[in-house]
Amino acid sequence: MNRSRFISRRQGDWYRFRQLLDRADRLSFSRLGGEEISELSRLLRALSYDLAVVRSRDWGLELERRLNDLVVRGHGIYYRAPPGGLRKVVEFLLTGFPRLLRENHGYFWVSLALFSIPGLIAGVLIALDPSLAERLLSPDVLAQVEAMHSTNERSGGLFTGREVGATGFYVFNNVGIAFRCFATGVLLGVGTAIFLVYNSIVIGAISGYLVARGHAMPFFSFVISHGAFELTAIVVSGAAGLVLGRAMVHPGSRTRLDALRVRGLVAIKLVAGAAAMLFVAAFVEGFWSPSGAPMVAKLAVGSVLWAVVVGYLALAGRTRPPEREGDRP
Amino acid sequence: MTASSNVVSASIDSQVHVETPENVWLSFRVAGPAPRAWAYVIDFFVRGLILLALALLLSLVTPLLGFSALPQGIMLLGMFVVIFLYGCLFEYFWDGRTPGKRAARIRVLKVAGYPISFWDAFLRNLLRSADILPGLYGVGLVAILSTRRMQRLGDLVAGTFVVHEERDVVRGYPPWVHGVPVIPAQERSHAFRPPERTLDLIETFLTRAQRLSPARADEIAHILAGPLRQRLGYWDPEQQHAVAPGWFLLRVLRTFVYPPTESQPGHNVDLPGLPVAPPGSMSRSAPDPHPQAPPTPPQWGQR
Repeated sequence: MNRSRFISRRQGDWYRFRQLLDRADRLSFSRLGGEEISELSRLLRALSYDLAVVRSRDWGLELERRLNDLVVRGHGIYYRAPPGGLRKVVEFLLTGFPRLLRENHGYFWVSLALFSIPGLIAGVLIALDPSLAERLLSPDVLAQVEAMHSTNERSGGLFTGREVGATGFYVFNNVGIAFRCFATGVLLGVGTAIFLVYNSIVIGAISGYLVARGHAMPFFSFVISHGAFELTAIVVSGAAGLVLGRAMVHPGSRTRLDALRVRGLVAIKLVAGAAAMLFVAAFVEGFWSPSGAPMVAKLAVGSVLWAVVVGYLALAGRTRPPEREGDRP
Repeated sequence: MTASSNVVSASIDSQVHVETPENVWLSFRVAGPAPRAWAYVIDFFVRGLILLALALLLSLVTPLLGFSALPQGIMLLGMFVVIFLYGCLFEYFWDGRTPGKRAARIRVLKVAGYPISFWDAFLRNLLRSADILPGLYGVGLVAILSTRRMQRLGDLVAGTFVVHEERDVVRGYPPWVHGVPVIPAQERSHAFRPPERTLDLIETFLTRAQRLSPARADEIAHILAGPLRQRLGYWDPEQQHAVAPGWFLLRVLRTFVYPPTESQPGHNVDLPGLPVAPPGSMSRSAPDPHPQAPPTPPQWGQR
């Protein structure tokens, strides 16, 4: 078969394939009819074969490029990831995320150690000798912190909109921090580690200072509720960063790149879970923590929230779901 | 994969090949730092515009609400979305394109050549914070320049790469072969038919010749035409030596690739090349860069 006979014999299929592609682009693949889908899949194979023929016979770069582009479009439609949807998001948050975290619990404990031990040390030392705090934080910052946490009520009674302002700030600030904490893990995990230790020391120092100045009760009743979500989420995003770092430092039997690719998917899911927790934390921190509720009530609610978070991460998704057909290809 | 295509792929370094489950390989043109930086700049302004619009809207609404901190909080939420989720959401819902990438005609794909999933989009955009690190995308640039698929760290981890969009340009029957006389059999002494790849080379050259300077085009045409004229044993009864090489190549193309049919001399109905869709159905195709392709360079006109 020579080139022009080949083209005139095959171009009907090419034209039809392009029509189907345009339709699939307009309607989305799932709304094509069954016959059209099987036609698309037949044509994809036929065009792949045509492309191979054109290449092996050197029938022209232009022809080759055009066929290549058609097959690329078909390939993209045919092999795209299955569509997501709200159900998958809910499922991930209810079961997928805590399961994944438990599968990778080692990273969580290491991250927890990095985030708690330096802070505990700094906090205890400063609680015993408050003058040490000025070596870590400037007097201005300390005064500001003390002013903020010396009383219980901060929002000034009824709803004023300040709660929303604060919530927006916490989302912007905290989720951003968690994202960066995770991303710098790709640099051999060093970025994540520095980040965890640094924040741990600052938080520990502030807590120790406030305890030493006698503001323990208003401070802890303020932070306990949102801390349940916020501190845990930071540890989780630290764990995600360490997953990346480990893949870089110790890829095991894979190449570094493959290890990063495989572990990266785990890490990003952990971060997504952490981000969801930080969203919850931001609302608690914006509305409940600064409210005028009595400190005892805040401590009680806060304790319940800690139990909820720990229970969620430790237990959610433990029951074995019934096997369903069609879940696996 | 033939030997010659290997040569092509090795010499054009921005081509990347992906083997499909159908056992053919697809070729992609990888986008380097320049188009990506351009896309980034456009996205930067789009983000700015979104925030500006949000701020204007909120400033109109604020007097009605009476709370000053409420719009502030909404603004901060908006900033969060625009800064951290802009790339991820656009790339997920627009098949790997942000407005900037769309304008720069580039697209993010999995390295296996299919569209990215939500997790891929999320991952590669979060890792921007690592790519940007020493400032001005230092880490990212080094990664792009040192990987074959020009991937920054985020791409490497997510298993994605950025490619130039297919240029879906329809080019059927080249209009500039209209009215070009074929070379009659009595003017060529050998029964030689140029191989398809040679004819393709001629066509490719003639298509691009319009972008070359006349002198350069003539020079290249001369290199192509010389040996071909010998193999064909071609002689022009009227002016043996005065025929411009470009005109000769056009006539060769007309003779062997686009011969006029009997029913319509001068107009070829059986279009060689790819299917030309009826007007209006080519929603995706870019405007043809040569709508009515200009005639061949004037110096190649008939005598």
